[in-house]
Amino acid sequence: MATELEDKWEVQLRKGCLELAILASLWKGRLYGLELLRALETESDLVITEGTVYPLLSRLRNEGLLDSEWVEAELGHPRKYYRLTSAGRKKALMMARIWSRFSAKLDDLLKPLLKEER
Amino acid sequence: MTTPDQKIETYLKRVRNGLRGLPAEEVSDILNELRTHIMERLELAPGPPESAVDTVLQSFGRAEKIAALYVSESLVLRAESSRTPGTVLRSLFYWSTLSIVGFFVFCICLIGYSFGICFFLAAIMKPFHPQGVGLWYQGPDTGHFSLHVGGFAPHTGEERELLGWWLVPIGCSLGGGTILLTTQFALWSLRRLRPSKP
Repeated sequence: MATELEDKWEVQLRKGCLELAILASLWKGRLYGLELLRALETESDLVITEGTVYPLLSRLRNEGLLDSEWVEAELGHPRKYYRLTSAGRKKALMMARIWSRFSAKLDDLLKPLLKEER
Repeated sequence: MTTPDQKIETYLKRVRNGLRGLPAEEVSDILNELRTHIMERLELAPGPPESAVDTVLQSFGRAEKIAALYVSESLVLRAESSRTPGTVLRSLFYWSTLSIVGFFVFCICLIGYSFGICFFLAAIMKPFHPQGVGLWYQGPDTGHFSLHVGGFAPHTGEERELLGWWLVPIGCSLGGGTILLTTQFALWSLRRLRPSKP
């Protein structure tokens, strides 16, 4: 029961952070879907069902936060690259600030719990 | 024996079936993007493609779920861009075919819009048919209120009309307000309750 609850809570937490993680992954430059998934897996520990990232990217593009363009690859298939728009950069920065402030406060709150556990 | 390419195309066909209602250009763009991803994953997968394709498609996710995520996004866009009861109801109707929540939201909004239109109709018809359209109180014997539109119900003369010509501005305000509130509720539901997270 406890494990199920932990799983559910963790899944919801990860889902909630996904948009911020995607915007942050694109901060340094354009990426295509598979690159973005790799970045999420290695840098944020966020693992999602691969195909579901595309509807999410589509939504962020429709909201004006991302731009996309098809680029012919020298070898292999043409790829659809995503980059942040200026609105996307603003939103990523705003979300990052809120996250940073919130997580720092929460860390302080959690310190006694984690100390006791040790 | 089904080849990996055939398996991929069958999978993409399932996605395409779920994307019905979206513009053809958008569908083609979505399928191309998904195909590119799957093909690249397959090239990177260890072992022969014949044995890897099932794992690749499985880790890509259920075709119907991916299509539903795209469609639900498109529903909101369409409803938000036009905001007319017709477009909102069409989006909600499609949602109602996907989930039980969508069905309830569709029913509530259908009732909301119907009430809104009735209020408007009453306001518009009052000047043309003043004796037949109005809010009537049927007296202390029954204690009933009734709103007649179009004079379908005969009056016995014992009822008292409550609003008179005030029915015109009140009907317009109530009609407009009900339609506006219903649209707001529909858009809020589409944004908050539809399947939108991976």
